[in-house]
Amino acid sequence: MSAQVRRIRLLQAAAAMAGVAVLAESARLAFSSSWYAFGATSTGSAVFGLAAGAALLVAGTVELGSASRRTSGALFVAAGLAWLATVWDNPAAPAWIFAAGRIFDTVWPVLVAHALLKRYGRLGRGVRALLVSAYACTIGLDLALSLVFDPVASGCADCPANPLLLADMLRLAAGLESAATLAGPVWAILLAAALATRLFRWTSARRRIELPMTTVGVLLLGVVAAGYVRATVRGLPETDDATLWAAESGLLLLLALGTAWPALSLARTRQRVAQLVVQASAVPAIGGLGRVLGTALHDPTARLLYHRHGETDEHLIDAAGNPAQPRAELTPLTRGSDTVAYLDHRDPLLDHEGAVIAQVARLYLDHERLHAERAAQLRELRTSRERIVAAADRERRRLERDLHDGAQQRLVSLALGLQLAGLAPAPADGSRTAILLADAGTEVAAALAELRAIARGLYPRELADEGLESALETFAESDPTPVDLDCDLPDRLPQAVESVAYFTVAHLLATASYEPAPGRAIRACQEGDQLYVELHGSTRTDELTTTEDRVGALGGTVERIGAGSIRMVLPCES
Amino acid sequence: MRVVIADDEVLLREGLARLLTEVGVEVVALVGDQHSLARAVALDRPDVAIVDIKMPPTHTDEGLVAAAEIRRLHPQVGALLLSHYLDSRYAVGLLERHLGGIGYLLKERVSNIHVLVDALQRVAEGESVIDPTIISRLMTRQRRSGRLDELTDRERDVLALMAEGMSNARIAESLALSGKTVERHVGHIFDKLGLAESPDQHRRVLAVLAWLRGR
Repeated sequence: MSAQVRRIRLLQAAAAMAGVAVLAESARLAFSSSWYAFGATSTGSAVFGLAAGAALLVAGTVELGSASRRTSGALFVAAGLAWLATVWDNPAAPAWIFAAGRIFDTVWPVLVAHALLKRYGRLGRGVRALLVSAYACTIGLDLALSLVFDPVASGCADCPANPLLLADMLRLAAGLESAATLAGPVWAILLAAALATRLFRWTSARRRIELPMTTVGVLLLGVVAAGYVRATVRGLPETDDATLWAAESGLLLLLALGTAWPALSLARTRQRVAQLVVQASAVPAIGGLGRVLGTALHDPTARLLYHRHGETDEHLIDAAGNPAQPRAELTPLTRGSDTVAYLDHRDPLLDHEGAVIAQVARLYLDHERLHAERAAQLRELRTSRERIVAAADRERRRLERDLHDGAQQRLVSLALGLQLAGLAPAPADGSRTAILLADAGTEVAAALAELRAIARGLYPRELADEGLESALETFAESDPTPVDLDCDLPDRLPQAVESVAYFTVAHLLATASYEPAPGRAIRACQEGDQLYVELHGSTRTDELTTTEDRVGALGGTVERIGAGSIRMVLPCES
Repeated sequence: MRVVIADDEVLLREGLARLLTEVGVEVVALVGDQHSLARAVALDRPDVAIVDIKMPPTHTDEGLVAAAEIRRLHPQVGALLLSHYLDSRYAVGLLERHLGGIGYLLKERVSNIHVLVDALQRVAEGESVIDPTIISRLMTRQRRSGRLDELTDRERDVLALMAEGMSNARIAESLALSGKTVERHVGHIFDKLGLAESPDQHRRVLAVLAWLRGR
């Protein structure tokens, strides 16, 4: 048991003991005389009131055990004690308890409202100011009253002497008394409004869960306000209406029970989700879990999203591994401190419901998440391979252009220069200079021819300008071994596809044997969004790794279709 | 003969101009783009415009466009296109669009002044000129596939020169044969290849080229 848990248990034990002691003393006072207890002199009202106080004490003590509800739990305990304090200003009480009763007996509605507001999250500045004012109007004014009011002097012969009395100032006391009574309905209604407005700020899922307690709280503050109004109208500071007291007792009992509501709701959700998962097991298809959850949440657009640490960024992917933008708010499905998935749907759930789904649907979630991650990885890999192929193409084209615009132009100029040198003044035929010039001219011509062949091999101009069909035509025309070409490609294809198809054919035919083979042919056609390229005869089909790499980079396939023949299929949706 | 040279490579066009001047060709203007070329042709009325296919601004086919424009506006001015690339489809496309007076040479051909001057003369006379490299490539392929087996060596030579755009007279001169002999060879070639003989020089080049490119 950690130190913190031990401290909490200690706190709860202290609260429980204090509660039992105060409850016992309050019960003694409530039954000991015919004095008003909880608005009536009857045993029934006393029992009902005591039960309400006890329930608040129990609920508050239980909440003390929850980390997120510790403050509201303490406030509920305080509210329970303050509620019981309403029976302490009883002639049968010892002087100090009597005095404490006088001070604490009006503050309980403020404590209840404070506890509820605290339960719902951080308090705004306005709400905090309202609470401070309400405390001042109750416990503050009562404390001031205790210093200047002597109950014995004002007619209660049985009452104990007031130990706090400084001076008996009847008129000041009357003024304070009526100020507290007048302020009562104001803070009660303002606090009720503060509670009610919370409802509109929540999402519908949270509203469903918090609505019962909030309603009880608002009603309770309404009854308190009514009690103050009634007292003002009748000019009596004490409220002795048994109905109002009974209503307050009843509402407090409901409130105490209401603290257990979220736990009950959670259990219900868990059960519902468990049923869902049983259903989901019948639809093991990827993406099925999101649909089943959507059906249960009455949101057909609901889907599960997963977190993906990509190569360059972090983003969300759907069950198929595609990058996804959340359409609505996301509810994280958490396991421990890890978020395993997100539910993208119209009404976000509370966090703990996400945790419930993550728990009960663990196996399906993990299965779908791993599938999504793998699909996303594959996609990233493919785009990366495509980028590599495209980069290689770009480089080839750049080199081809550089050769033409640079080296080739220079060589042509050089050839011109040699011609000029040979012309003026013309060296005698057969002279040393004439022979050397002629040799240099031949060398330059050979260099130019070689350069042209290299540039062609790098990236044939027709491939860039006119497309695959023209490029294959020119290739077949210039290939030293006759090859039959049958092409039906009326439209241009994506550049990457054209390049891969062309260079694969060029590579395979260049490494093929130079023996003319009958039936040597290239066939290419497009069907739907697939490009089919077949090479027939004298293709070396034993070493296809390079070809498979090249074609595979675009998601295509290569297969052998007989001796020396292969077929490539390349997807080419543009 | 008077020529205009259009090429954006200053070094190359200056060198070419000097070379042509040396062999007695009059270079009337040197320009570097399509617009200046059109202007020079209109002003100087040369016999032939030597045009680089790639010129500014896009360096793609400005030369082709300019040549088409010259042939349309000034039918008496021939156009000799220079290209860094060899492409038989390009050549056929050119011949289909222009009825003679057009030439398509590999750029490095300028380093052989005799071939260049010969091509200029033929273009000036309204003949077509196709670079021998293109024709020799087509011939090699047809020979390997066996479609030229029926022809004699001499007939193959004549076929190649016909494909380059030469008239019978020029073929006779080039091969040192008599005109009659060349005519007989041409008749045999057309018989053996199953081509209809056409009296029109230009049509004959196109038909031969089409046969050579076919399979």
